[in-house]
Amino acid sequence: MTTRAVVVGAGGLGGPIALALGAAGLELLIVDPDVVELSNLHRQIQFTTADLGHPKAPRLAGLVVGRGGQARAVVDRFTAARADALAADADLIVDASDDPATKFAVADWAVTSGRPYVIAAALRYGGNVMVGAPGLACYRCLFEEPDREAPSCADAGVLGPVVGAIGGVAAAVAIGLVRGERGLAGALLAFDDLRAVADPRIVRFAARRDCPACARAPISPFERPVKLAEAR
Amino acid sequence: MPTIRIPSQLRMLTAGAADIPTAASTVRAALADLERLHPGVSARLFDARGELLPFIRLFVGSDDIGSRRGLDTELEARDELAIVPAIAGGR
Ligand SMILES: [Zn+2]
Repeated sequence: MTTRAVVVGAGGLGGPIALALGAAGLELLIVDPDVVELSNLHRQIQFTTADLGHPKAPRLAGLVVGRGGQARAVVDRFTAARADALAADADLIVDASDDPATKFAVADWAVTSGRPYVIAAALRYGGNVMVGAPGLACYRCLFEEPDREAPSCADAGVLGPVVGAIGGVAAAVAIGLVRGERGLAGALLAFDDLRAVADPRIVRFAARRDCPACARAPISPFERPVKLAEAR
Repeated sequence: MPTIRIPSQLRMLTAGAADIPTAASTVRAALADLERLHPGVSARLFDARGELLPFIRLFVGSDDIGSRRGLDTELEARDELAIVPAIAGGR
């Protein structure tokens, strides 16, 4: 049976994630509203100067297909309003966007639709990978709402290889999730500074009683709360 | 002595320091210490009412302080208090 995944973001994180998931045999839908710019190339190594000015999603989908995988592209933003139309048949969704609102849209949709999901982020020298699965405390339990003033790569910068490393981890845990591996489900992997320490801090957290996403989840994280010490 | 792990986004407020030792015995006291040493950090962690900002989480080792005693969670000599902010980036 084909496993379908939506990859939201076709940039520095989305590149390695899509190539890895495509090579693992997943059928992909890649969603990204942007075009390739010169300032992207140092970290978005899937693109070359030949891609400048072209939309990222179809270019990346083309690379996946060129390597024997299956991928389609949508040049658009992933929002709550479009989530069902974009992801209804997905078995997994991976956020590789650089935008807090998109991360929450992906996580909220995954939680309320009962799908496993991975939220990846990289900034400066480190990054976070949150591994979500039905019935567990969610991304919105962890971070209640977006930091509207959070710096993005465009203004704070990111070391090129850091997005590759974080994207690789996100892809690996995503493949694990669709294969039924739950070892890291519900965990946040926080990589502080990859120049100095390769190991992430792996943390778990309880579901928040007033979490609006978990309140709509088909499998409630409140009915059988994960025992944190057990889950580790 | 416990240490406070500063995320890279806040290190411009700690003169680049990543690990700040503290003599404090609770999370709350450790963060007050941090503010005394490096004024301005608190405003990036707490709102005007003294509530932790929604996009900041605190962990002692790998334990969410919410699963222990919140800001009153005790710190022991070898504990590391980690400040983990939500980040978005990497597109
Ligand atoms: Zn939740």
